[in-house]
Amino acid sequence: MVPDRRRRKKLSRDDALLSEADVVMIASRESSMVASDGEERHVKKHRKADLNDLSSNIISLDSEDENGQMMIKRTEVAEVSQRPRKVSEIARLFRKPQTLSRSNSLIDNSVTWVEKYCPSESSQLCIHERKISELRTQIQDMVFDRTNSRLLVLSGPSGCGKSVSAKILCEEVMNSRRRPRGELVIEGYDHENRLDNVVQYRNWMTQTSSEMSSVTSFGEFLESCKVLTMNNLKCVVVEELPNLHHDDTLKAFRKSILEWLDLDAKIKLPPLILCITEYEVDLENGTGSFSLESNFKTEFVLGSKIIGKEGKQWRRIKFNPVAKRYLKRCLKRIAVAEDTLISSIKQIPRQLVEQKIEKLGGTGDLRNATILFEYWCKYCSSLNDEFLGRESALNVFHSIGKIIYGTQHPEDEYETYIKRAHEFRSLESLQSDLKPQTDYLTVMNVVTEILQTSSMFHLNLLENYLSIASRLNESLARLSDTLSISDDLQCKSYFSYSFSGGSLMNEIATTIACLGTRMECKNIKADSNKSGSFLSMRYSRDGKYKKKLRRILQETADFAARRATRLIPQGRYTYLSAFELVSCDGFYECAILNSKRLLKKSEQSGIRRGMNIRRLGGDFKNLMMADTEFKVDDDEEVDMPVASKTRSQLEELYFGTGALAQADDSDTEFDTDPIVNSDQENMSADEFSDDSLVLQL
Amino acid sequence: MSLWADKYRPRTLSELDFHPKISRQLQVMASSGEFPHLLVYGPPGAGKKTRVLATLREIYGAGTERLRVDVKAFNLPSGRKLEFNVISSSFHLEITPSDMGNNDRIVIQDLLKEIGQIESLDFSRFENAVMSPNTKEQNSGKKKFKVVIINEAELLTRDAQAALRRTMEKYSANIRLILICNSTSNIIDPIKSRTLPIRIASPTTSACAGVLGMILRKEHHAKKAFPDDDEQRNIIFKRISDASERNLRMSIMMMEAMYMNHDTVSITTPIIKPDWADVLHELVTGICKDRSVSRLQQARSILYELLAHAIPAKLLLKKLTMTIWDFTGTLDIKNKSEVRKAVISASSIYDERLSLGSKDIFHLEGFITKVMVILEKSVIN
Repeated sequence: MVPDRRRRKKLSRDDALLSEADVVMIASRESSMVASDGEERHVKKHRKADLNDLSSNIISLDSEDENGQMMIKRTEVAEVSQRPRKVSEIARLFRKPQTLSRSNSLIDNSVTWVEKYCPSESSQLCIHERKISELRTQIQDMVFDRTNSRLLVLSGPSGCGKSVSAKILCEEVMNSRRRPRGELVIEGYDHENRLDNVVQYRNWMTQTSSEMSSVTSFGEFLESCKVLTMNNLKCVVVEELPNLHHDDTLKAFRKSILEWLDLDAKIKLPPLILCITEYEVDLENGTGSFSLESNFKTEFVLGSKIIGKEGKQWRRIKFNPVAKRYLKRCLKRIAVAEDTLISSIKQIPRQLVEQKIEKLGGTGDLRNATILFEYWCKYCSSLNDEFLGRESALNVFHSIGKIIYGTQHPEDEYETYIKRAHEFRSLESLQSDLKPQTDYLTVMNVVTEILQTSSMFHLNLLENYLSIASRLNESLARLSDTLSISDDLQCKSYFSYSFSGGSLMNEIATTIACLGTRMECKNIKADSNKSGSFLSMRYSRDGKYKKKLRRILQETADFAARRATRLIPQGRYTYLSAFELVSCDGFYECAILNSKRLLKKSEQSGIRRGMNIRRLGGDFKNLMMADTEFKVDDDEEVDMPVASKTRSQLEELYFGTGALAQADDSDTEFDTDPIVNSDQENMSADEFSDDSLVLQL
Repeated sequence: MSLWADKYRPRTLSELDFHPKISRQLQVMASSGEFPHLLVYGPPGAGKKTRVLATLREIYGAGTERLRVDVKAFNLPSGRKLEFNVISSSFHLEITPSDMGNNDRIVIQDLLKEIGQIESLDFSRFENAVMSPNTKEQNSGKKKFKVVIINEAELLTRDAQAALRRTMEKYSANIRLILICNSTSNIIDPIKSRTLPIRIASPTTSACAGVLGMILRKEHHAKKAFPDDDEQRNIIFKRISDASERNLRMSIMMMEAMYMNHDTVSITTPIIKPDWADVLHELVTGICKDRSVSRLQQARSILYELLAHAIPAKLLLKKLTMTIWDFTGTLDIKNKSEVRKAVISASSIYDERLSLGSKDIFHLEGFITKVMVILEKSVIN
């Protein structure tokens, strides 16, 4: 149960909306590591029930902190006076708290290192130079009106420097612009920030905004931002999003973004930058569906309509977790700056510090690494702290890759395992025992990581396991057998969930699936002569399949209703099950309506039809393919079958329900001469050929 | 005009073409005006529904055919509202568990309570007098009960079935239940013991041919398209009923589709089989002939597609197994019986897994992989 608890904590931590306040929030949680179970649940409940509530928590924490900051800032502003600011000055503004704190006391806990060492120039950013220059070009294009894209989306995991780099680069680009600025105050944004050229959205109620609905507040914010052009030009950076887990708010959010994008091209708009922290959780154990709730992805946040305009009206830059090299460089910088604390007061040997930095480097989350580093330096450098810290983040494909291909970094796996298992023993004694069990460790790490989304993970495994095999053998059969068994076990875990044995059962099922797959994959790999080419991973088709199933069931229900309204007046109605409708009536009725004889008659009656009527639910030839990319289909609008009009006409003709067929006696037959083969070659075209592959057997 | 299958559906017991014994029994039962709860079961397309409706008509008269569709709304304990259509006449109503999902217990209980508490008035004589004043129908029996037909009774949850057994006894004065299902294996014993089970088997091939012939006799124009020779026509009928696995409804549809798509139907005219059956057949041919990884990947796509069309996984597994069984006959394998045994054993394992599990694709793929491996080994040997 212990790893489970940790996991929960991680969940709640990850969800917090990203903002500066976030940092404080994490810090406060981090310090209450030993919070009782009850409290933890409380936090978790918070998140589900009302995110607004949570964000108000953040505010309260944040505002305290910011007051202190504000004081500092105000004095600074007075000194600087009204001269036009240069980059270096802004940088100084950033650095100010740091110098202050150093003079005040040597261990100053009021400013966390995350705040203190927040980069102030683009050269300090811990991001690949190419990313920075890409980002800068994009922002420049938008500021100087060189592009018709009006929105820039920065997406990536938490703590990879999206917001900071956005703000800094905006500031720098804007400063290079050198234009006099007027003062404009806009409701809903944080006008007390330290940046002159950036407007940020704040999702909380102020006194003046109390009458504003939280649903529309974002729209109103954007609306008010539209005036920030010409002399007042500012960059709009949205790093805090409204409560998108609320349906109406999400819709309003998408709508206002769409309006922003679709606004007349002649109207100049300020550059809008959206930072989206992507993460995956699945709170509904085992539902395994793709939704915003479980998958906070850009695709879900923006919806298919906006996604479709990518590249045309907006651009996107994907951020990756911070590379080890950069993370280490950044931590070293901090270590140098805090030299007095580290070497004089705490007297931590340099070697140890470097070891620590080496270790923290792999997490990919800069913010978290800094917090951990600070904590370690200040409080527990003398203790063993192997258990502390965020495990390196794994995305779905990464996890699948680890299961199917095995790990490439056994050392890392070992460390992660130690972290997760809360093992306090020293590395050396265990390492020799665990060395041969790399596979086991990898599997255990992955299992704890994906436990919440396990049913989805199994489907993803199923979708991908064949990529390693070159020919059929026993191992393959055993592998699919293992997956089948684990599905059954998983099912058990749903039933026993109410008795709180569910999560254990789920863990067992997942472990069996993953371990089994790993073992058999190893065998397959040994057996196969396939070169080590990695095939691209695919997402499971399960989501698509469910959607299609729903659509077909709906179509079947409509079909049954049509049939009922036709037959009930004639007194000929009998009930048919959905399966009978799909397997028999749905097919033959379409075969009859598409028949040659009826074609002749329909031409006589003047019904035009370019295409054949589709069988109930569509042909079997449009196979659903697994995607390598994450695709979103909105459930907002599902387009109706195109040929429905022709269909009803034909039905009328054949079944004689309409006025059309009333004229001819139902028993008069309509063929006396053989029908010449008509030239309806295109009849077999199926209108549902969206992303399908025509079946070839 | 409607589809032949609907058009030529017998409406009275005397019109029924096959299973004369059952028809006679039902007739006797109907003439008494009283009958117990019924459990009617049998394969699809055997005429269960037709017989039940004909029996009702025998008891209540033509009024049972005057159906109306009502929308019933239920407030679920969760606060949600559930709406579904109920088809009813003055004498009976039909409900379908699949409309109600997991709430079937509450819905069925409420519905039956509502009907059961109102002592149904006997409108039959009145209504029949209005409809056919000339014919004096002798329906003087005490038919104080209303009939509730439950379609697809095998889909009732255990919960609902347990609730049903109390309700059956409590309101037996006012309600008669007729449960219609394909198989009784999902019906709990207490219900089986409270009902009179009637099994309607599929028609024999000759009975099937008889019905098809009868339809052709009535469809004068269609008759011309079919061969005059009785023998040849019987061959066609036999092929149709074999292809449809003696599912009469499907046979009739098949015949109509063949007639509509061909100028003349002869013994060589290809049978129009349902497309999903063809897809399954091609799938089996594929996996038996070409046992490779890419084929397996393709099989998964096809399985997903079949499942998306709401074709039950169990049925897919059964059909797969049967087709593979047939196909092994054509393959050049040494120990054929061994292979067949292994296939059946794999099939039964995965059948159980399907019952226990929730994601069908795992088990179907597991089965196919297993079969391919079995075949691969034996062919190499």
